[in-house]
Amino acid sequence: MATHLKLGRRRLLQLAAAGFAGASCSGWLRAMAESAAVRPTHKSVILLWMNGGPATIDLWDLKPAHNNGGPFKEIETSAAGVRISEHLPQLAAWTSKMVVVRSMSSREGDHARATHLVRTGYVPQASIDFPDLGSLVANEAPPSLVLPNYVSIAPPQRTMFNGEGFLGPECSPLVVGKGAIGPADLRVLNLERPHAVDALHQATRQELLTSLDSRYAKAHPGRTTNAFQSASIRALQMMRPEVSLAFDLAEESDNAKDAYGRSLFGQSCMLARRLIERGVSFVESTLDGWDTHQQNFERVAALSGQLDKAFATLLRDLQDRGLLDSTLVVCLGEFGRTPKINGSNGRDHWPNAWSAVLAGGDIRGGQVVGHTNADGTAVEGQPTSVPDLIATISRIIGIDPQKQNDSNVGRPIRIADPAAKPLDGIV
Amino acid sequence: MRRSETHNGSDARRMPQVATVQGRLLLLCCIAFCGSLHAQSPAVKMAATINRHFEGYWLSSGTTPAPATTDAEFLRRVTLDLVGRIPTAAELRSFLADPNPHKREQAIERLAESPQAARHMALVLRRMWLPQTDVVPHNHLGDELESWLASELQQRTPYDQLAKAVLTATPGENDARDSAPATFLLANEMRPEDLASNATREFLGANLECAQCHDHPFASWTKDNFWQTAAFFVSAEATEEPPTLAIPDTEDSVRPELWTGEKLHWPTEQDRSTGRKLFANWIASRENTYFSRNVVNRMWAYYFGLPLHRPIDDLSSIEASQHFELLDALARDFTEGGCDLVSLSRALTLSRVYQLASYTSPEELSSGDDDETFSRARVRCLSGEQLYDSLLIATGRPVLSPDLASDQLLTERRHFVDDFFSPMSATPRRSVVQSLRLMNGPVVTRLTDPASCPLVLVASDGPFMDDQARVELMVLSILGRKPDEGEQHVMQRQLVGASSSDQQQKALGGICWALLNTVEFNTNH
Repeated sequence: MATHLKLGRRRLLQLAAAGFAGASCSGWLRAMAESAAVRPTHKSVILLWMNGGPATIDLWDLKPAHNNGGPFKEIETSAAGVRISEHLPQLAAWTSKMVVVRSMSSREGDHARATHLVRTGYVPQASIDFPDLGSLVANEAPPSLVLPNYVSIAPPQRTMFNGEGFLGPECSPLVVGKGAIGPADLRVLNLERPHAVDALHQATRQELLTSLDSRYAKAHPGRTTNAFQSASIRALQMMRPEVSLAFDLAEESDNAKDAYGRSLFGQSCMLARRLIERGVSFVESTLDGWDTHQQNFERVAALSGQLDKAFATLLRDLQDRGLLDSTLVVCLGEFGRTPKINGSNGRDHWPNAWSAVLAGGDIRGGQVVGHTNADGTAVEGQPTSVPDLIATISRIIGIDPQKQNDSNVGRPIRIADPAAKPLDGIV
Repeated sequence: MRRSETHNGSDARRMPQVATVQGRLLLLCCIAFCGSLHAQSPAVKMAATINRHFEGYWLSSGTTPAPATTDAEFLRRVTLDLVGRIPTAAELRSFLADPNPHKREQAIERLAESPQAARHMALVLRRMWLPQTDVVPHNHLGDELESWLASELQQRTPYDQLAKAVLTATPGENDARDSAPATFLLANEMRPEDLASNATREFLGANLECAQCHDHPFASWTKDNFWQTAAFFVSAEATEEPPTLAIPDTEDSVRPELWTGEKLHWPTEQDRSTGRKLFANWIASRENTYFSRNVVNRMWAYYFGLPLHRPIDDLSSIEASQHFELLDALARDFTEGGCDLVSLSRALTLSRVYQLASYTSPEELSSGDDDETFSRARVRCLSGEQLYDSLLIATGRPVLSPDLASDQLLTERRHFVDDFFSPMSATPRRSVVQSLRLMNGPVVTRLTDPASCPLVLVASDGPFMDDQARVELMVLSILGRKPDEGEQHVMQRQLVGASSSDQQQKALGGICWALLNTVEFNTNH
């Protein structure tokens, strides 16, 4: 069960002190379980980030009757009247739990600007350091006892994510698998003590650190001292074996790994499920490679295979563990791709009309929101902006999209743009 | 000359009469000489102004200021603030042992006038003027600007000239080696609305940006004002008329106008950057009170962790601010003194307010970190640069020289700085990711390796060192003060039982690691 343990700061320090007195493992894990579990204040989110601008016209909103449709066929799904790509057969069984928004539209066709817009909900503005949605959601979550509220798995190499922006380091994502090439790279950096330092030496010096910080904090009380001391304590707690295990995929069965797919993306979705189980508020997994200016159909077919296995297995896994209703899965990229196929059998950038998918989170699944015209070039029904989607996600998970945060330019900035209108009929 | 004969008792208070002309001239020279010794430098005068203002303020508001910092606390803070690193153990020992009652003023003068201070101020200015050069996608655009600023600051180029040069620099023009790089243009992607926002907010403390879409809720500027300001930054072809700018999503277009109503004189022949140059000259003019108040306010925020007036980028309501008189007085002194940043830095750090301790008692905790009484110093973050450089100094190493250090080390520093970046105006924070990096990451691991750490090796092998002296050296070098009895006890326990020099070095390495990871080391307090 995903729970957030809302321990006050004093209790946190007590547990920390208990955790480091003596060499044996403390009872802090037990204490955690025994402590009154508080229901999370909002639902969790898994963001499946399709980096490069996925050709949603070949995934969720096909045009087989038109030249722009290309070679892919549609298949029926578990939701009546909803058809998706033949290369997403497993997901076809899950559309009854999904909302497919086919009317996304924006004006940003540049990767960096569009990525910024979709991930933060705002177009870039000089000198404002906007936070990603993960940080915004993490900021709303109660302070986590052990794991950070926002984890980012295998972010793309050449695309820069904003991270915590003006929300500051407390909301920064824990990055797993930075620069990862394969599943073996899915580790948290600096979680392990250096090779040259043996366990006893590490324990000894950690104990000295904790004792020095405690003495200092007594003589120098204040918000900053608290913040720095808390970060240290949480870092030390994350270095405990029970916590490292959360990131250790060796625990999972071969069957489970096969079901997700042995790719980097497949395994990162499995890791996402593990983290949601352990109470992380927002986890994102990146699938890169969607910038298909050439050979669109081969590449999209291959990527669809990875997406299909991982996404469908994730949904089944969450459902099996009773987590599907309390976890919203979001699948999108920075824009869609041109309906008209180019000379290299590819598609170029197309922000005018594209699709985004929501699943789980106890939403009214099995529906399509909006529609595009016959050739896929424009939205005809219910145009939805990125801020609208951000506001919708906020509503689904139970946070206020108009809540203000202090920014780095002195002006408060809301989670969603003030003009955003959440979609109706989803929650 | 005739001796005066008619005065009696009141003579005692009058200057002694002197018989000869030469005598009088000599006397006058003596008076002038003594006068110049007591004549206050602008920095000292400004510091006195600050002290007077706050002493009056504390009295009338019934606030008790914190005690003064100890010598050790003072030196650590001022060295970090002026040159971007902690003091070395040697600098500390020498300062603590110095009996000179003016040692703090002398330390400030020595630090503030050093070339390292110029480089550090260059970083502070670059960050202040162009905060977007710290974030994607314009990060690392700042290097060129910083180098140029460092060189200019070493020559004591006045602040207003620096501002003008940076605002008017144009790629392709004035490609002399020592001309300002066009970073301002590039960091704003040459867009008039971004250039206008950046110029007014960071250089004037006038946040017109809100007015981009609607009239400003409090100040007197409107949406039209915003676009009229942006029109100065339009890069039009050579014309005889000021350029026009179309307001997006409307049918209107505007010509450049100052929102204050002042008229600027446009030359008859104009080129692509005439508007920008006119506006830059107006911004950085010594008559522009926004300009001087803004820099004083921002420099105050840098040294004190909180500006005199908030919000820092909107001085429109400044006259209602509780510290307005001080801000205004300092701004005028700054301008009259030639816009000298070194002098301003000295003034701020010389003040009693700056030299207050950062702690009081638990009962005083109610005055939070946003407290505008400035009755105790705020605990601040270390920037990535300050932290990295201090890690080197603390472990007995010199800071990296940009010319001599290997690419590998310079890259390591750059990545470290990126990982520990926090915006100047943000409240101090530390993430778990950052803590993990400091505890287990490659930089601290390498620096605390007992086999190669100069501090550990000196502590271990130094002649005539007992455990007491070893602990004292470690704490002095890393935390910048002497350890108290309790700390001596706790740390000497780590050294007990070390039977070989290897074991001793390992234990010292452990102490070094722990000290480097403390809250105390990682904050500016």
